[in-house]
Amino acid sequence: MVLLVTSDNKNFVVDREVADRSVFVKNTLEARGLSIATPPMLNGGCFELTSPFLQVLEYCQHHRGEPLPTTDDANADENRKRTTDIGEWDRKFITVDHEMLFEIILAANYLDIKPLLDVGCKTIGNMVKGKSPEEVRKLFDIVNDFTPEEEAQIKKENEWAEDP
Amino acid sequence: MGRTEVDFLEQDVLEVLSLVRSTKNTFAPINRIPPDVLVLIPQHCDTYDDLITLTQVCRGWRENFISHSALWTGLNCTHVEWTRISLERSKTSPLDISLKEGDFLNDAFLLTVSHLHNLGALTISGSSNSLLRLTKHLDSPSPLLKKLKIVCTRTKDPVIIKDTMFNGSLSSLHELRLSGVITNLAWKNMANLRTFDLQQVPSNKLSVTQLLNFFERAPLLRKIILRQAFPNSSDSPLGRVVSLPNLKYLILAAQPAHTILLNHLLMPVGTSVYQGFDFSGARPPFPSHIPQNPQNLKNLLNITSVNLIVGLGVSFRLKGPNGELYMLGNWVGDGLAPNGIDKRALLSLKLFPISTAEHLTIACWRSGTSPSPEVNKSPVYLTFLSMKNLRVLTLTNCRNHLFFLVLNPNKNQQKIILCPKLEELVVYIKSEDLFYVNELLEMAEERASRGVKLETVTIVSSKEFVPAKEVLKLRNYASSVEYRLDDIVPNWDESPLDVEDAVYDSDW
Repeated sequence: MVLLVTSDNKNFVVDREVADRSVFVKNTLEARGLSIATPPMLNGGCFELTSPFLQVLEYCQHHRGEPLPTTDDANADENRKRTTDIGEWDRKFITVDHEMLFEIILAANYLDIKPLLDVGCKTIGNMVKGKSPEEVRKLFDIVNDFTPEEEAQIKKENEWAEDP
Repeated sequence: MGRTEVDFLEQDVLEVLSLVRSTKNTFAPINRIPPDVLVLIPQHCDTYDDLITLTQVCRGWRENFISHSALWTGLNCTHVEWTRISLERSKTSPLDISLKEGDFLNDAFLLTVSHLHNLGALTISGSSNSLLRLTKHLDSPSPLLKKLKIVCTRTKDPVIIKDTMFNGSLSSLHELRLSGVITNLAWKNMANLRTFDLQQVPSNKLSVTQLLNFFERAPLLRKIILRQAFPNSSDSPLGRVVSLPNLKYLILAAQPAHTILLNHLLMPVGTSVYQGFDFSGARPPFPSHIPQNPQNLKNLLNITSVNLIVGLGVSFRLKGPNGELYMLGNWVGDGLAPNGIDKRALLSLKLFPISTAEHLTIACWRSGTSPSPEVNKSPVYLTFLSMKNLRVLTLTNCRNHLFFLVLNPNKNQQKIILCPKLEELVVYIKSEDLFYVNELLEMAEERASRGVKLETVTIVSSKEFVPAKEVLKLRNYASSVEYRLDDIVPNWDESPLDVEDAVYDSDW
């Protein structure tokens, strides 16, 4: 068993097999020979991690025992990235509001859980699919900050795509 | 204030407004995701249209996505302007070019010619003549090339590719896939090749010596696929054996006897082998497909699990202790008699050293393929006679009568206890007349009285075929009895290797 402590001082006792889904935690434990890992400080600041961490833990528990992606198989890595399919359990798991989705992605990135990071990025990729720039802005609460000159340049640059 | 000054002022205001908006965007929740993670998103989009869209959302995203050169390396050369933009944005990242016949040698492709030294992956697909014309432009070295795929679309007219392509050296190549392509496979250095996939080459255009020479130059090969690309006979001396120390998957799908090649290969223990072939003759085809080289049989000396699936064909999946798979499939054709599972499939099993197997699963997905009820000399009896280590027997939609009789020490041919270590029986049924509950009760009772009591009996049926009182009786003879109603979901494929993926590679 491994004790994981989040930055907001919540303790989680999990099986080593579950903790090892995170390459960050796995390496930390292996390097220091410890049974306690204190992962969550994100972007140098204190991060309210308990909520996304619970989600990440649920993911790790569900996928425990599955082979971890290896770095030596470049093809597998590329195929993993390029597919847009998400397994049924993962799809249900990642059906959360935007805030939580982004926090799960941040946590997966920080804790180095590549398959979870992929699920998060695929989910955003699927949201974007087929949408116009304006629709993407609305979706993610972004404003158009291009100057008219920049807009004209972008339009010109992509004229070829509008050719019949 | 004149018009010009107003125009300048307006310009300044718009620029300030743009800056304010850019700052506002930094507070958008999605922009908490760091830029190096954000660039992963377009890698999961289906089309470049989505990537273009993402560059038009805001300044920050535009800068981030355009500066990430790896996003712009995919080229299909259908449009000159798009090709120009991609080449510019991809900078020095290795290019991934995919060309179909209509786009060979067009203006967009010609733009890429001066960048071919920077090729990371190339896929070309077309007729023989057009492929030949194109490959003339591909004779300079490509030191970064990792993936090469050439598909000749007219398989009746395979293309002959000269070994001068890429200056005859593919030392960086990890993956080589050829379909309908004849080559002397003489590329000099294949030191990094991991995957070799050869398809649709007439048997008389390919020799065992060519293949062995090629394998010798590619010591890191992990996966070999030969589909409808297999020599008719061996032209190599009997004693020539090529070691493939890194092989993980060998996939053969061809009609000539696979031993023609297998007898010349030395595969490490743990290699998963899939063999597919059509068969409609009267005798089991396996002797001509199982390697005679004893070293190659090492994989089969410690089989822990046997799955026998009878559907439109017969498929054998034999698993080793580490999950490696030895699989033979596509035994199809009119030779499969109604009692085929009994007379052909089970007899064929005897060709393998199955005495170490602890798990046996038999699944019937075709009516009329269950064993005939003859106990004496039955292949079921002969098979179970050799399965001394069998612990778990799973019967899916089988006619169970014969299995229960054979396992009953009081009923089988020599009145002996077969499979003395059998502790778990799982029976899936979807038809009452296949079940034979009385035979099951008698068998369980007799085994219990002989000290080889079943630990667990699980019965899963789609309808309520088994009366409650019979289930109660069964509980006297087995430590645990579970009876549940469910659609039949056979657990016959728990292989860690996704062979289907390996065989039916999505790239094809």
